[in-house]
Amino acid sequence: MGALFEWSWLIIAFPLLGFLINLISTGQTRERTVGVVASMAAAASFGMSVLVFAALLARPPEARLVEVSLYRWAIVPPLTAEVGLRIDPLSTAMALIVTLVGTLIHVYSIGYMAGDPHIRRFFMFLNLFLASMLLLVLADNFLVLFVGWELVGLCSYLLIGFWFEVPYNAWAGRKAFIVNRIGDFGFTLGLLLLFWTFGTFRYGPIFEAVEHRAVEAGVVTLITLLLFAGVTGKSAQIPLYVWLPDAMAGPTPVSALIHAATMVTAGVYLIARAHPLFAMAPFVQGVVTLIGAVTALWAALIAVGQFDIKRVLAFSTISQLGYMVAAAGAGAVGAAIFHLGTHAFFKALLFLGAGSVIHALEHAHRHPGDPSPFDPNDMRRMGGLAQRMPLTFWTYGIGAAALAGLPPLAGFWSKDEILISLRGIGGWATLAYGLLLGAAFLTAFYMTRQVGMVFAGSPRSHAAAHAHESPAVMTVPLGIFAFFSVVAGWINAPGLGALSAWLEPEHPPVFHPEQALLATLIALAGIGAAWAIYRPQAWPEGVEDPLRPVLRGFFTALTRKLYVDELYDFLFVRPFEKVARGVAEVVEPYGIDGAVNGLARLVQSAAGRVRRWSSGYVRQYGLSVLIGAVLLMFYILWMLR
Amino acid sequence: MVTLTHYLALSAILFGIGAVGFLVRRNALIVFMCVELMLNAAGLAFVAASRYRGLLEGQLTVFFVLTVAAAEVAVGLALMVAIFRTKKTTNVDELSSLRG
Repeated sequence: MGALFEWSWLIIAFPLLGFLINLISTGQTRERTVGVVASMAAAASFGMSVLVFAALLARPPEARLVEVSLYRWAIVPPLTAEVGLRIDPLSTAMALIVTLVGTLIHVYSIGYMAGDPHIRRFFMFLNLFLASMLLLVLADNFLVLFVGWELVGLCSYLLIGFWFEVPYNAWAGRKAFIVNRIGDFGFTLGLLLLFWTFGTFRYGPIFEAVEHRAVEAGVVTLITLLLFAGVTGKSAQIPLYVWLPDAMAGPTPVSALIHAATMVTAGVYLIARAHPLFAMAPFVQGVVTLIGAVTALWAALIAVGQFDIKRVLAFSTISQLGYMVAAAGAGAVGAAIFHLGTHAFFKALLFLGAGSVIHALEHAHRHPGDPSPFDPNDMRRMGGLAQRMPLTFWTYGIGAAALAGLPPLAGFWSKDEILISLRGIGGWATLAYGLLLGAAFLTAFYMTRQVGMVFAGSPRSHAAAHAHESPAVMTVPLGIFAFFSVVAGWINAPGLGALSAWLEPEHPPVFHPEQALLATLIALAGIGAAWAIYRPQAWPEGVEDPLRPVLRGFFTALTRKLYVDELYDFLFVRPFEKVARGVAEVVEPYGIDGAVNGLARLVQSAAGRVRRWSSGYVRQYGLSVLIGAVLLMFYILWMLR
Repeated sequence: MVTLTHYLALSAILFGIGAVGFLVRRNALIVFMCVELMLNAAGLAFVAASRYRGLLEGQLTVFFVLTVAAAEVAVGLALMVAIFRTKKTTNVDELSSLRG
């Protein structure tokens, strides 16, 4: 079985191969072929992940760590940069989630992106993203992880701005890139400090040194704090979450794959991976837990006031990432990865369902040839889609219930485990526990609001009235995801605990009936409150949102995302622009240009004086030579005296 | 009795005539001849000193000077012919197109 691990690099190589095939194949390739090639590459990667997983499973728990050395990248003493893979329970679990979700979304994209003139570019980026994400997950050192980290950031940027003909989309891509760069600045510093402290980037020696307390706790505190800066960028936590809502400018499959299910979880994975480091810095653990919990509540609050079907899901993603970060910060790595997995399924399901709705509305709108501007994402223009798109409705409903945390769906189990893991620690964790309970109520509320606005009642636009169900290539992945959204939670249910046994055998999952009851009651309360306001009978005709009269001014603040973008604009963007303009209008013309032009003028005026010596008269030159010779002669005579 | 001093005095006189001629005359050909005069004055000083000290190096040097002077005359005269063909003059004061 050992030989199989030597081939585990194929997990990364398959999507990369798909990328290369689509890169070099000519523009004549049929649109369908492109999608099939990319999907097969993703599926092959998934197959390989399953094989590696099975091989690892066959080993006894204490031997489940294989390090595969691939390539010596660079030797610059004292740094030896090597590319290697670390096959262990955490990385294989992540690889399985990434490749499974990735493959299904590739298949879905064949239907969703059909007819797009740049479909080849789309699938190339999708394959490249998959390869980068797997590199990030499987790397055996922080340096290669960072390479994958930056590559997924690049793919995210490319895919957000995929329809760059619309200026907003290109702007959203830039925003995502720049905001992530701010976090990555901290991450880079953290990596340098890490190398400075440990003399290596490899996980093994670093964790060993930490275990033996070979380094100072203060340095580790600083390192983990800097690494967490990178996490807030990539995993969209306060204060750097602002890019994720705008990332919805990309095609919906991209939102599902990158900005909900996989890439944004890279930060959670980093905390889980570097867990031994974080465990040594309790202060940072507290910070991480609290920031995660505050983000969960904050984003859930904003989600209540959104009208864009994808933006609600984007804020929901930020909120759920907050849950994972809070759990990972509290040391409950198993719970965090569990929620990461279940969330990947039901959030991908919700995004693909939203994509199905958007797709249907776009086609229904285009059909009668109406040229008026129409936003197919606007939930105020939907309604009554349950009868017209039953498959989408039912799968979406399952996803929403799973997200809201209704038993026995996936979200219930994982969210429960996070809440339990925060109890009994005391201090900040207790505060985080309370915040997450509040977020759970809001989660149930905004999902019910969304389902009510989109699927219940009667259509509120011509397009919604004429929408049709999406093709099978889109609905079949929806069904598969719905299946996983139901059953994925059971793998770690009490009595089974398969995932916990896999990830951290020493911590079996605990189950408190009263905690489960509390969480269920909170979810039901959220659903009930939302249904009381949004049920079709309570919704008078012509009212934009029945919640507005209830919350009044605060609802406007929610629709404006609590003015955080405006605040950042005022605090950072505008002052920066002012500085840039100052540099362009003062420093550039007077400083840099002034220095260069001044030097040129100096040379010119000096030359103007010297040129008179060059008269062109041979006899004058002769006189100069003679005088010089005579002076030289006198000098020599004087020397010889 | 002609002593070394006489030879050196003659050499100095010849050199002075050449130098003054070089500076005051405008005809390129005359200027050229003055240069030759200065060269030969230097040669005379060499030969005289060589004879006085009983060493051959001075005379040897004069041979080199003569050779170089011959080459210089060949190039110089050719240049002058070429200049006269293009400028129709040998007045050195009119040949000042390299003025800065």
